[in-house]
Amino acid sequence: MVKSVIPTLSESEVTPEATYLKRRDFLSTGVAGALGVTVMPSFAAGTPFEQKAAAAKTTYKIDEKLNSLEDITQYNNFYELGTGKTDPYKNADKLKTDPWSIEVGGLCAKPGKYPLEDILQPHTFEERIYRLRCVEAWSMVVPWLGFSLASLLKRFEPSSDAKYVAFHTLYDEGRPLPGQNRPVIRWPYREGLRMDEAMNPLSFMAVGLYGKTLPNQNGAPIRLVVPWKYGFKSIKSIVKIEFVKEQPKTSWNTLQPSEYGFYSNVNPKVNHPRWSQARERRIGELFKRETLMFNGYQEQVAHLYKNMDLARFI
Amino acid sequence: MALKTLTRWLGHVLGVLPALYLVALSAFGGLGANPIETLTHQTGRWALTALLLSLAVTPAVRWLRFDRKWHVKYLMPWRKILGLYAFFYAVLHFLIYLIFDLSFDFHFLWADVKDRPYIAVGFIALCLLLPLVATSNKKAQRALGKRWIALHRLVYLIDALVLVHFFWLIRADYSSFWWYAGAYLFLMMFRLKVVTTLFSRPL
Repeated sequence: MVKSVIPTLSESEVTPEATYLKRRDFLSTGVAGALGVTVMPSFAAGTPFEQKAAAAKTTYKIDEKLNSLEDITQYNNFYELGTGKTDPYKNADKLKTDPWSIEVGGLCAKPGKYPLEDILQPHTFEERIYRLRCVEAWSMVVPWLGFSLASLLKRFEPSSDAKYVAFHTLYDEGRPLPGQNRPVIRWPYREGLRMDEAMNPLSFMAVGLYGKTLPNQNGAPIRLVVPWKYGFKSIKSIVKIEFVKEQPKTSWNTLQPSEYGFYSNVNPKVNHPRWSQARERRIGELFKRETLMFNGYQEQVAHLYKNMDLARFI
Repeated sequence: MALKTLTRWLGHVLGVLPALYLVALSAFGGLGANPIETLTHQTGRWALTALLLSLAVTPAVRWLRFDRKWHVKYLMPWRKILGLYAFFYAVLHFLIYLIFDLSFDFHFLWADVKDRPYIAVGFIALCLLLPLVATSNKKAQRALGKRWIALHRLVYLIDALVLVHFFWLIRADYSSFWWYAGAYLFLMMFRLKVVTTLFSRPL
């Protein structure tokens, strides 16, 4: 039974990287099928997270080469763990994700402080392979594991007055993370989306990548992923979600409004004042490639901005 | 004579060491996930470091109060060696950018120089280094006489431009920038007449 399943699995279907690699061996070098087969049943058992991860289907993918787990986990912008690209990897153990809870507030029927288990409990997991485009003109392709943001937000029954949703990253003044000892940006890190952006099917809450628990440096235990916007919009290690009427203050926008807009949609035609956004370096490639409008998600999101001048609303 | 040759060789060995280190890192995959970015940043930093070190030579010589003959012979040559290696790393820095960031497309270069002040400033700094490199030999020095010193004071401006170039590309964390800027200001202090007379006065 299992034997027939293995060869038909698509390259991108969810599996932890180890299995991924093993399967690649199996496919390319013809290692005995048994190798792949023996790995599969081990996922059926385990924690609820592991079970859901094992059951996850790939619901969104692109035909581009995935970045390696090493690249994704050792080249990060996560200033809470340091401003260097490898600092978050080095300081990853400083972030404690257990216990974790999210405070939900503002204009909704079900505010409260929810333990992470309660947040995750009703959601089945899916895998989505998205491009990630950093405002610094580099990009990656990441297989995220999680569930749609809309499915989470709907549970709190936001009122019709809620026009925006705001997010905060962890900031414990008594026990700051290594990067939070200096006011490089104002802590806590804040981000936000317009309600219709948040409810767009592409908006995603990631709890894992490559089929496994999200590594701390990638924003564990739960982070936002909005693939048509510059990476800094995809706020990590979320502890607070608030439904608000007015456009919320967001970190980079507050620091330098002329350089980082509230929307920050990937747009090759609108340059960052100090550098070009027309091209990007895909991590793993030597030369730069063209940046796509809305990071290639034009079809799914362009309608959100149809009456807006995108050169003005950066 | 032998000591002078030794100085020169030591200069070259120290000068190519960072480049060799970067080559070794490239060969063994030690440049991280974004090797081009690492190479660009590293060559830029070494160019700036060499510029600042060359700026330190004259004050150091004054401060150490070595006997004139000795320091002219063995210490002042470091100014030239460091200056030339600053140029070497600046050229590498520029070439990496030109080849890998711009895919050797001069239209992109022009667009960058035109639209992005930090690129323009870096590019001007590199161009200003050219006359200094061209006149770094004894012959030019003799031919230019007093004007040689005036010309080579351009390096004060070049260093400032390089610091602006650096400052303008930082997104939020200026911590390492302040070390370089602080070193520059400290070394420029010795170019003030008050300070130089203070240090060159015999005991």
